[in-house]
This record gives sequence, structure tokens and C-alpha cells, in this order.
Amino acid sequence: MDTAQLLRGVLDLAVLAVLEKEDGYGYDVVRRLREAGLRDVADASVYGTLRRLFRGGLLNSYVVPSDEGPNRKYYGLNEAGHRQLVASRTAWETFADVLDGLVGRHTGGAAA
Amino acid sequence: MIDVATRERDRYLTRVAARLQGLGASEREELLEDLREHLAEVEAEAQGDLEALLGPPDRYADELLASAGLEEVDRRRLRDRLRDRLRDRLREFVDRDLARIEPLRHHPEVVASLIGLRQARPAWWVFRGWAGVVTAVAVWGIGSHGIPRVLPDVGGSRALGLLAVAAAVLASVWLGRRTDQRWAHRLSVAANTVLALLLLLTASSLSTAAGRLASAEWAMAEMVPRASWWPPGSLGTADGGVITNLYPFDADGQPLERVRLYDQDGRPVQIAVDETAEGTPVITSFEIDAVGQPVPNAFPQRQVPRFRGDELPSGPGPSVAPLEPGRAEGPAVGDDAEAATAEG
Repeated sequence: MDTAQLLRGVLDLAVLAVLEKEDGYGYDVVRRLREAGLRDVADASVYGTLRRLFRGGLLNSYVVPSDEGPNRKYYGLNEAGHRQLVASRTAWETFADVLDGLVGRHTGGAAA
Repeated sequence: MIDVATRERDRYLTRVAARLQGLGASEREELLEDLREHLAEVEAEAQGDLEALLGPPDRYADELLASAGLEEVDRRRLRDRLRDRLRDRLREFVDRDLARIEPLRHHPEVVASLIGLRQARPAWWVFRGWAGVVTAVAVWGIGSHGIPRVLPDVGGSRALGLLAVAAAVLASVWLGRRTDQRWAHRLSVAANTVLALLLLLTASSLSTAAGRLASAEWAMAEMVPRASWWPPGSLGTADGGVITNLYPFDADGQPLERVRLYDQDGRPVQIAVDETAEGTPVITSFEIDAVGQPVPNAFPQRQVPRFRGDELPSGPGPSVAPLEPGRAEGPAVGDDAEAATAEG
């Protein structure tokens, strides 16, 4: 199944989760998502999502001068972002449970 | 090396930005704010050509729009900008092009003609009233002869028609003199609209009527020579009058219908006139035989006035005195004109 399509619905949650651990700049977030296993995540999607979450008031941002290259704009969760993450996480867990039951990861097929 | 990379990044960025045309300047700026830096990071860390790493700039921009939730804004803005451009063009036309002819309004000749137009308004009011009645009557009569007359009959009466025209003209003038009031202006606009509609309907019915006349005349010219081509004096009344129709009667004074008449040589007698002896224009229609052919020597011929309201002599009635018993021998009268001709 197309991971990009699955990702579309949960990219907000993934980005919020990444930023909960540690503030990050655009490409940093992309890299951490990929390292976590989301190989196909598109650069533009992450960049656009960050801008949208920021505009939606879920993130704060600050610029950090960089020695080696251009200044980096860091994003981090603010209070609203944290609340959103908690709500999204609950929704996701419920959803994942339902799908697990439906698709049958635990009961299903490897042994069969 | 750095220059080449920078230039390539700029080109990529420019093409992404171009794709975001629909966004407002501030939205676009905000979205692209640190994209240059972001692209630099990507390039530096992934070590490669931007297009190979990120795909074509158009697709990158589309993805950016979608994930930033600005797709709808982008589309709406494009629409708005198109509308704005149209509006600006229109405003420009009004402001500049119309302003160019504005001085003409003060040109003496234009002023004169505007004054003239204003002075001609009463004439228009009169015309409006008269034309309203004429066209209304003409439209009412569509299907009959539908040809408007200068003074139309209303309910078959010329006096009533005259009254109607007079009333309409008075009403139109009365209304015209009050158009500086809002309600009168509205009523006036409505009246003009109705008149325009009536004129249109009359014109279309006129063209239909003209077509009907033309085809009737064509059919007549094709089948028989016109009465005016006849050698003068070939057929006439005892007092030297012109014969425009024939009304056969039997010995008991009963009018006969569908009688075929032939001359001494067995040739069908043909009369086809387009006006009566008094000069009233008529349309002559021939009887149609079993195979659909017109029979020009069937009498009496049916003649109708070309214009509604014209009177035609109705021909002699059954009051014609019965003949003496022991009737005269008439020429052979056949049902089929050609058979009769062959016999003759």
C-alpha cells in the first residue's frame, strides 16, 4: 500500500511527535522522520506541514544562527501544540487498535 | 562551485514561487520565507542535485500548497485576480477611453443634437402611443392577415381604433412628461420594453405574411397568365365592364359551386385577377382537384381581400331570377379539365 497516502492523514501527528522530543528546523524534522522509518516522507510535505502548524498557532519558532551555513528556523511545541498532540495521540491509538483488530496483526497470518 | 549551487537553488526557488502565483504576496512570502535555507540544508546533507532530490519544482510547490493547507486559497486567489484584472480593464476603459470622448459632449454639434433629441421627445411619446396600438392590434390578429394599418380597427370598428390610438397617445405623452419621477420612469421603461416586444412580434408576423403573399403570387403567376396580360375586351360585361369572377346559377336560380367553364374551342376559361374592378387588392385561390392540382377554370373562384377590412362584392345571391323552364344547352362540363380538353 502507498505509504504516502497513509501518511497524509497522520503527518501532523508525526511532526508534532517528533517536535515533542526536541525542537527542530525543517530539514532536521524531515531527517528524523526518515530515520524513524518514514522513508517516503516528502520534503515539501514536511515543510508545508510545519508552516501550517505554525500558522495554526501550535508551534513557536525562533531563529538560531549557524556557524557552518545559513540561519536555521527552529520549531517547537507550544501549549496548544502539546494539547493537540495529546488529543491526536488518543485518537490515533483508538484508530490503530480498531485497525489492528480488523487487519489482525496479533491473531493473523504469519504462523498460518 | 558555491555559485553554481546557489544559482541552481535560486532557479529552483523561482520556479516554485512561480507556481504559487495564486497566493497573496504575504502568504507566498511566509511560505517561502526560509525555503532557501531549507533547500541549502537539503543540498548540503543529501549531496546532490535539487531536482533529483526533491522532484520537479512544480510538484514540490503543489505538495507545499497541499500540506500547508493553502490549495483552496491559491485557487480562490487565482480566480479573484482574474476578476480584479477584468475589473481594472473595465475601469481603465471607462476612465481613459470614455474620458477621451467626454470633450465631445461639449462640442457644439453634439450639444445641438442632444438638445434636438430632447426636443424630439414629445414626438417619440406620440409615436409610442400610436405604435403601441397598431402593433398590439397586429399581434392580436396574427394568424389572420396580420398586416398592420395606419389606423387599426379595434373590435372591427374604425372609430374604436381611432379612439384607442388617441387614448394611447394621450397616455404616452402624459407618462413622458412625468419621467422625472421614479415611478413614472419605471413605468415608462416597462412600456418601452413592451413596445419593443410588440414591434418584434409584428415584424416577425409581417415577414410571415409577406412570405405567404409572395408564395400565393408565385403560384398564381406560374399557373395562369395575369388578368392584365389578357387581350383587352376578350371577356367583358354588356356595359363594357371588367369580369373578375363568374357566378353560375341553375335554372331555378340556385347558385352552382365548382362549375368548370370552357370556351368555344374547349379551352378552360381562366380568370385570375389580383384586384377587383373597383381596384381592391384580392387574393384568388383555386379549387384543388382530387390529385391536388389547382383547377383555374372552376367557378365561382374564391377571392379574399388582401387587406383585412376591405369589402368585396359578394357576387349575386339566390335572388337572381329563375330562368324560363326548358333550359339552355351549356358547353360540356367535365370533372377533369384535361379529359374535357381532349374531348374538345
